[in-house]
Amino acid sequence: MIRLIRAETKRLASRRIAQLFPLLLSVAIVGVVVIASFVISADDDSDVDFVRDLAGGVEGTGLLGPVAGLITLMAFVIGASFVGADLKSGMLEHLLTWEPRRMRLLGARALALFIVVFFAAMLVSVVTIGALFGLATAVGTTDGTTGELWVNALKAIVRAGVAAGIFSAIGLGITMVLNNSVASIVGFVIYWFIVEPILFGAFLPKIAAYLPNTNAGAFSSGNPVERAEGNVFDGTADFVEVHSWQTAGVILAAWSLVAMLGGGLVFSRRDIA
Amino acid sequence: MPSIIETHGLRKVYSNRKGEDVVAIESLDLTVGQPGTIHGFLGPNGSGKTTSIRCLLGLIRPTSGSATLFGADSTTAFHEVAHRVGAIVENPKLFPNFTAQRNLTLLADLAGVPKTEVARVMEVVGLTGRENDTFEAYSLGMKQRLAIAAALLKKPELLVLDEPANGLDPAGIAEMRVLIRSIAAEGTSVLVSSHQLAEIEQMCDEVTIIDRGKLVTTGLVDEVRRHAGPDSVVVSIADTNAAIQALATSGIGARPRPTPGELTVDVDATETAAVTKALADQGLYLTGLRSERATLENAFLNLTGNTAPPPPGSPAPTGDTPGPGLDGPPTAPPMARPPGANAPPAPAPNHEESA
Repeated sequence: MIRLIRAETKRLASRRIAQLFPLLLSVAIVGVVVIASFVISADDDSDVDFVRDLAGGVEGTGLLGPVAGLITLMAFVIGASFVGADLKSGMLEHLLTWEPRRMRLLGARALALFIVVFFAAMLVSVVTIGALFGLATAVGTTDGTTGELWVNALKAIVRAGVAAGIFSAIGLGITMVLNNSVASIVGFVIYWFIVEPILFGAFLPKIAAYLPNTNAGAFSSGNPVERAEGNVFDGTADFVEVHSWQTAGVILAAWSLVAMLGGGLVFSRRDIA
Repeated sequence: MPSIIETHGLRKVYSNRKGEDVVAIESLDLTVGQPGTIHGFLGPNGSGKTTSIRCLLGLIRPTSGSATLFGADSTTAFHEVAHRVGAIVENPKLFPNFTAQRNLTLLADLAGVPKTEVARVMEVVGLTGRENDTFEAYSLGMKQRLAIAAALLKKPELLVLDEPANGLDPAGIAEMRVLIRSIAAEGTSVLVSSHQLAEIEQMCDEVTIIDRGKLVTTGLVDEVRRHAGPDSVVVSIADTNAAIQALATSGIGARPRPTPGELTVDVDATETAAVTKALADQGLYLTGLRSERATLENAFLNLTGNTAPPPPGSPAPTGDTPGPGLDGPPTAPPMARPPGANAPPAPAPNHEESA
């Protein structure tokens, strides 16, 4: 099993999408921050406050909130494409002549994905935090920070890696079920940007508190999951805590388990041709 | 001791896009028992060869019947014998942007094979010196050979090759034939599927022919070839109609061939003197004469009751045309499904990713 995980990890780490996606995302984040540094004025108190909040405040809480969605999207795409490319090329068929135990192969693949995506997400997180800290330094808002900022930053980086690893497994499982990586990714993007935040977030907030998007954001940033009570459209809603970021992590893990079980069930019974 | 390959009543039914059942294999019984033999698995495109191979390798579940490799059930216990089986199904599948060396090292690592084996198998398939080229930069023939090298990493007792000559030029096919022969000579049994009967005929010890998912015949190549009927003689002559009448007068049957000026004469190669005499007695002089050996393709056509449409303007394959030896060029076109065969080939199952 160790050999299988090692081989799968090497293969995934060599895939262009696993290398380019984190790099491009990092470059994009740095680009946005550089542009922001020209727009934001250190003399404007509201700008300074905005940057301080964006960077997680002086204690670094909620540090990766703004990019958590992008990191998990990246993880899903890498996970989905890893299995999708092999299905399309017939490589999965070839691998099964080497390791016919399908659940073993799927498990090794999920672990390999977790390892690679964990580090990819940490890279993006480090770049994000570095860029935001640089921006904060540039506009003079690092006053009041303590060592706690870096402890929280480290925690946020690890959490982002774990959340990404979990989402890569969700991507793997869903693609196994759908047998098509493009359908899986397109469906996920629609769900991610429309279905969960708009349909569930606005109209079914009680359910939204247990859905992947909401819990990924909470877990990555270290903030609790909150639910709006009242009218969110006129700004009179109150936000009440539903559960902690730790619980959000457990819920995320449960979602990945469901996806993997579904994927495993389909994979173990499907004709590979 | 169990047979290397054994199938009993193997049947696979797919549902097509309309939800209709399509029988890909029907009650297939196949046995490969002798180590070191090359067993040809033949049939037209869509006859169920690849489906059968996938059943053997545990990639698809048979609807009914059984398939075993070294006595292990392919569906439930292939993992017990996977280390004894090397296989390539359809196209060679390796990682395109990896070098040959890296591809093989990765697979060696996966199978727990020492990395020194990589150099050995590269040498076996004649790719030494090209280890650092990426897979995508290889020609099709080199890709096939590298895929065989990958399959050989496990030092398999059985090598399953699905259409290894597909897409290769004549030189590539000849190289492949020599390579497969050399692998078998080392004691590895080889199951090689193809729709090109002439290719298989030259390298196999045993053959199984299937058509539309059903077993047509199986046995030693010479045994199966007997179904093709006797050998014949091909005569080239200016006036074929007069020649047919002249031969008929002497009690010799003859019929025109698709190539103008050629006749197939129903006599054995040892009786050519009677042919020349019968023609000369009528003042007819032939311009060419050659024997035509019965082929597996003839056997297939006879057994299935089909008639193959010859390529326009080209002669049928002959046994004494130059070079059908181990290194010679192919002499017969791929097995064609004749126009009279109205059953469509079983479509590929709709399980592959369409995106």
